[in-house]
Amino acid sequence: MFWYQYQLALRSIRKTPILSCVMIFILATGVAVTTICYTHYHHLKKNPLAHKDEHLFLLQTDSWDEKTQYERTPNHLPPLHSYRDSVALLASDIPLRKTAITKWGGSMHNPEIQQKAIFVRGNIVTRDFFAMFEREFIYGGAWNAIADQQFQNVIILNEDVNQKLFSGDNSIGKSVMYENIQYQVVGVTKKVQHSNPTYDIAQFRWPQPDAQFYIPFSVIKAAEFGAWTRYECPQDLRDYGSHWYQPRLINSCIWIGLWYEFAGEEQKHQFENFVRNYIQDQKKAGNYPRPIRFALSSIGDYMQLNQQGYDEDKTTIYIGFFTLLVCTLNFVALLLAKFMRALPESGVRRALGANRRVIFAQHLIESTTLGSIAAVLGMLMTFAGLLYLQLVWKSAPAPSSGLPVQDNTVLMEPDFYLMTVCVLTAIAASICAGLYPAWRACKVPAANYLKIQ
Amino acid sequence: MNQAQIKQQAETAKTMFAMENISKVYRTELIETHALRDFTLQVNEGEFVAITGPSGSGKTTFLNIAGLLETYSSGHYFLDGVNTRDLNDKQLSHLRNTKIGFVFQGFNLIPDLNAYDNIEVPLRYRNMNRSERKDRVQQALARVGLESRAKHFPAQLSGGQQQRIAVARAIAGSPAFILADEPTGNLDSLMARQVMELLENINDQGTTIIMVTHDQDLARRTQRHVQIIDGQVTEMFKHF
Ligand SMILES: Nc1ncnc2c1ncn2[C@@H]1O[C@H](COP(=O)(O)OP(=O)(O)O)[C@@H](O)[C@H]1O
Ligand SMILES: [Mg+2]
Repeated sequence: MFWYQYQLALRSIRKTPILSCVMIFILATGVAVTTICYTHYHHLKKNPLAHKDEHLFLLQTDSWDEKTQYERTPNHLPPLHSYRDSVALLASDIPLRKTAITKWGGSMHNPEIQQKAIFVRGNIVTRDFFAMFEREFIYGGAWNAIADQQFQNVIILNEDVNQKLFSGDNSIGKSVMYENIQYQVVGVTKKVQHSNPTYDIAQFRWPQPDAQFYIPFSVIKAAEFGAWTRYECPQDLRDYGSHWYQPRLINSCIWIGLWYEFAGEEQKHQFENFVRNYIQDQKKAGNYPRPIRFALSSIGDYMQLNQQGYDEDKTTIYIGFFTLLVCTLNFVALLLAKFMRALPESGVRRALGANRRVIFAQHLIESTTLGSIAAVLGMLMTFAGLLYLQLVWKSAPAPSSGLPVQDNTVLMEPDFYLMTVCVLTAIAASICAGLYPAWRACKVPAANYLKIQ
Repeated sequence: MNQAQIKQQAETAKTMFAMENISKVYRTELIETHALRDFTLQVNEGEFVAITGPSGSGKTTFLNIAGLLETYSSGHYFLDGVNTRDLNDKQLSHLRNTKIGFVFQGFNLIPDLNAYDNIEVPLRYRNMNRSERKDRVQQALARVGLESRAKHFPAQLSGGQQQRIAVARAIAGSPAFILADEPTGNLDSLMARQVMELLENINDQGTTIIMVTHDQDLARRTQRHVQIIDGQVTEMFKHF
């Protein structure tokens, strides 16, 4: 019976090719717009390190001033730490792994070749960073543990920079000049483009460009570089001197992120005690004037915490759904007109023994068949639309600084999940759209259509 | 059939169709129309009954109720022994599909289907397998003498041929009876005669036929002639 109904649907679709094409196009447009509008949200909400959520945590402590609470994060805890606190909180041996993260930028070149220096932006981290955030190496690996304690001129490049300075060759052991200091390359990382900012989750919801190099955290004390990251200071009336750089190594201004990885609950618990004791201790020195409050949040936890932030990105989803609604209503109107025109045939079929359910099913199958074709077209349109948006973003003029721009094209990446959403939306919309016209068709007063005209 | 045979048949024959005191009232905001009142009619297996009456007398209403396309306000209607009151749409459709063959004045073939596919429609709603459908369609085509037109679409057939295909569609499912509504009304006299002869032929082979017509000559050719006036059976004639 289904096969017969399906054949009837195909016949009816073929009978009015132009109308059918218009209907398919309308529905496909609605579905494609919806899917495209949903794409960035889908990618933003993806947590590439979800499998580490039990182990990997961002530390936030309430180091803000006595009078005001920190306002720029959903949990009112500063996302970053002062250098003073960072060094102390990194000193704990309890965690399995730990890293600080801050960002620097400057000019870099290969001293062996005559070449214009390139402008690069990188991360200042510990050797644990690479294992914690699953950075893969093309050549070499992380620096040794000593480099975290005592500064060594070592550097890890990402694959882009290695391409520019060494034409992609194995550069381990070679030197680069970064801001007039010579560093030895110990590793080259594979480029990753996450749609999720991972270690920057407390500061950004949108994707961040991949770091182009990594230098050990111990460099901060050894060389005076300005941090290329958020630098905020709580109210602190103490005098830290007027040197342009030295005060930030001792004051309460925040500019360093801290992440920890624990082997298990027990370890995490011990570390929490350690943090609590540290804050308690600091109060004696006049730091941490606020009630003791700190948080260890996984990336997933933090995303949940920041749900409201993600909700702001839903506006486009509403626009998408509205478009889909309008398109579906158009589809309904055309379907209704089509089914009404076919009422005489439905009347004859009723007289010849088709019951209402059968007539209803026949029309719903026709609507769903149109929906399935629209699903395929919608998928192609989604693909084309996303590629177009990526192209538009890619062709935007690069900033004159030469630094990598925040690469949002990852947010417009078509994937299997989105295609499934697209297909299911088209089919669901066509079923919903078919319900009323099919119901009208099956209610046909057969007798009225059998009389002589 | 001779008189004795028919008498004998009438005594032993099974009742195919029985309406007892059927009433049908159409209510609109302005008026109530009693389209049928206390309508009683019994038809036996193998009979050919003609129903005539002036326009507006209730003939079409009778056919629609007989064909289970409309409900009735009161009374009883037994179709091949089944009481049709209180049946749901699915049961009614099944009865219509298996027990009744329709022949309409306007033919009502589906224009996008060829003759073969048109005849197959009622069989499709019966979960009949492909080979049985094929046998039945071909037999029906043979009985109306249009085997060669199986692949023709209605638009490629004359009115008389279309009506014969409609008759083939009506008999393909071996119904308990055929309901024909002015089957010759849209045909010229030659074609009308052909269709009438076909119906008589089918009746001779045992299929019960109830035919509505306003043509007194046609009515006279049947075994029984029932006249409706104002929704009631007024006269019955037996033609032997
Ligand atoms: N759907 C309807 N609604 C209201 N009145 C109707 C309807 N169908 C038929 N009638 C009325 O019922 C009466 C019988 O009609 P009908 O059975 O069509 O007569 P016939 O076929 O003998 O000309 C007429 O008076 C007609 O106006
Ligand atoms: Mg009539």
